[in-house]
Amino acid sequence: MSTESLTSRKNTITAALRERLGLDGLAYPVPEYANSIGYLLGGITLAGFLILFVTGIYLAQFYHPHPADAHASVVVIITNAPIGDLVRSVHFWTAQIVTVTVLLHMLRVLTSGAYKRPREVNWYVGLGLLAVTLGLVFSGSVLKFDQEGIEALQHNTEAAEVIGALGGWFSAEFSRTVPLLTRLFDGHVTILPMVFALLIIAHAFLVKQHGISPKPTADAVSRSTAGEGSSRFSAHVVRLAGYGFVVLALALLLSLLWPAPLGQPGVAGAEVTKPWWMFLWLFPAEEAWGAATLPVVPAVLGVLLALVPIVDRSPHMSPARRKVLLLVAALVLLAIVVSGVVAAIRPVEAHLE
Amino acid sequence: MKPRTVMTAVVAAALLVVLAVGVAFAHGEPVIRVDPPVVAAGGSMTVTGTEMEPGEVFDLALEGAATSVSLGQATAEGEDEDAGFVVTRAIPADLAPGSYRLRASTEEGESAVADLTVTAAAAQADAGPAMVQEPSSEPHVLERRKPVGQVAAVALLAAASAGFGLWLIRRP
Repeated sequence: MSTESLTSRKNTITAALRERLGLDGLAYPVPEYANSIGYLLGGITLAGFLILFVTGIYLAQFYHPHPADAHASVVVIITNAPIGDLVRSVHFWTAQIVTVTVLLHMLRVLTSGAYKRPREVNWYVGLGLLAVTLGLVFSGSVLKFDQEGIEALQHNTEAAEVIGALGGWFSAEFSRTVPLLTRLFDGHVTILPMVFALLIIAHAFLVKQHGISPKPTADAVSRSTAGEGSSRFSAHVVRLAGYGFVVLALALLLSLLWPAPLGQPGVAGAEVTKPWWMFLWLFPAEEAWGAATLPVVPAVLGVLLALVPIVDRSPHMSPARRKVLLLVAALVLLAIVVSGVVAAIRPVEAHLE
Repeated sequence: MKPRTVMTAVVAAALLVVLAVGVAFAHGEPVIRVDPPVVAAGGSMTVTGTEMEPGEVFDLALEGAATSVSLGQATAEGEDEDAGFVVTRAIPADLAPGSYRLRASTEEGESAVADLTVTAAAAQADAGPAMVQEPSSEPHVLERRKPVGQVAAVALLAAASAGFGLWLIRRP
C-alpha cells in the first residue's frame, strides 16, 4: 500500500471519528494564555484524578476494609498482588501531586481574581472540589490502618464528637453493624467520587459558559469571555493530556525511588506518629486549643474562602488593585506554612483525650 | 432587596443554624474509656464510663470482625449527669488478636464505644517477641525489592510517558 493511500485512509478514519464523536464541537475558541501552565493546573488535577480512579479500582480488588484485616490486606497488596506495590505507590504519589496542583490551582484563581462576577458560583464549586479532594486524601490515609492511619481515625472521631450531630456519620455510633473504617472506605470509593463527578461536571460546564477568566492585567475587568480567543479548546485538551502523561511519569518515577510507605499495624489509643503534610499544620493549633480546632480551623478557613467573592466585589482583576485581600490571604498562607514547619520539627505529642 | 444581600443573609442564617445544632448535640452523650487500650487476650482492662444518668444500666460488649463477646453489665452511679462507673473486665483468653470496639449500650438505645486492641494471649506472646504489639512510628519492614526486569520496565514506561506527554505539550 502506498504512502499516499495510507495517508488517505488515515484521514478518512479521522474524519469518520470526528463526525461520529462530534469532536469538532470541542474546537471552540479559548484564549492562547489558557494553554499556559498556570491555567492548566485544574486540568492537570483532573488528569491526576483519572490516574487515581484507575489505580484505585485495581487496589480495591485486594483491599479488605475491615479493622481486623485492613492492614494485612495492604501487606498482601505490597507483597503478593501482581504489581500491587507499584500500583499502590502510583496511587499514593499521584494523590500527593494532585493535592499540590489543586492548591496551586486555587491560589492561581485567587491571585488572578478569577472568582469575580460572573464566576462566583464556580468558585464555590471549586471549594467543594477542594473539600472532596482533601476528604479523599484523608480517608485514603486512614484506610491502610497502620499506626498513622488509626491515629488519623481517632482524630477524626474526636473531631466528630466536637461538632455533635453534624459529625454523626463520622462517629462509630452511626452504625452498629458496620465499622467506621468500612464506612470510610465506602466514602472513599463511592460517596466522595460521586460527589467529585457531579462537582467537576458543574465546574467544567461553568468554565464553558463563562469562558476562561481574563488575564489580570492592570486595567482588566472580570467578564464573560465565552467564544473569545485565538486558540482552540481541543488544543487545550491535547496539552492537558500531555501534562497528564508527565504526571504519570513523575508518579512512576517517585514510586520506583520511594515506594508508598506503610507503618506498623495500628494500635488504638496510642499517639506516636504525625499525619501527612496536608494535615500536619493543624497540630500546633490542636495542641494549644484542643480537639475543637480539628473541625473549627478548617471550617473557619472555608468560611474565609467562601467570603472572598462577597468581600471583593470590584470588577478589577489586577493584583495591584486587590492588595488588602491578597495581603490577608498571604498572611493566612504564611501562618499555615509556619504552623506546618513547627509541627514537622517538633517531636510527636499526644493530643487525644 | 438585592439578590446578593439575600444570598449573604441566607448563608449567614445557615451558618448560625449549623452552629446552633452542633452545639446542642455536642453534649449529653455517655462516654467510655478503656485502660489500657492494648490488652493481651486473657488479661484485664478497666472500663470507665462518664456523663451518664444515675442508675442507667449498660451492657458491655466487645465487637470484632465477626464476633461479639458480652462482658456483662455496669450500672452508673453518682449524681445528676456526672454519674458513671468504673469496672474491671477480663478479656477472654481465646479471643483472636486484632482491633475491637468496646460498646456500652442501654436498652433505651444510648451507647458509647471505645477502641481496643487485643494482642495474642500472654502464653503465646512468650513464645516470641513479635506477638506483643506496641504502638510504633517505624515503617513496616517488608521485602519490597523488585526484579531488575520490572524496574527497567517501569523506568521505560515512565520515560515513554514523559516523552509522549512532552510531545503532546509541544505540539503546535
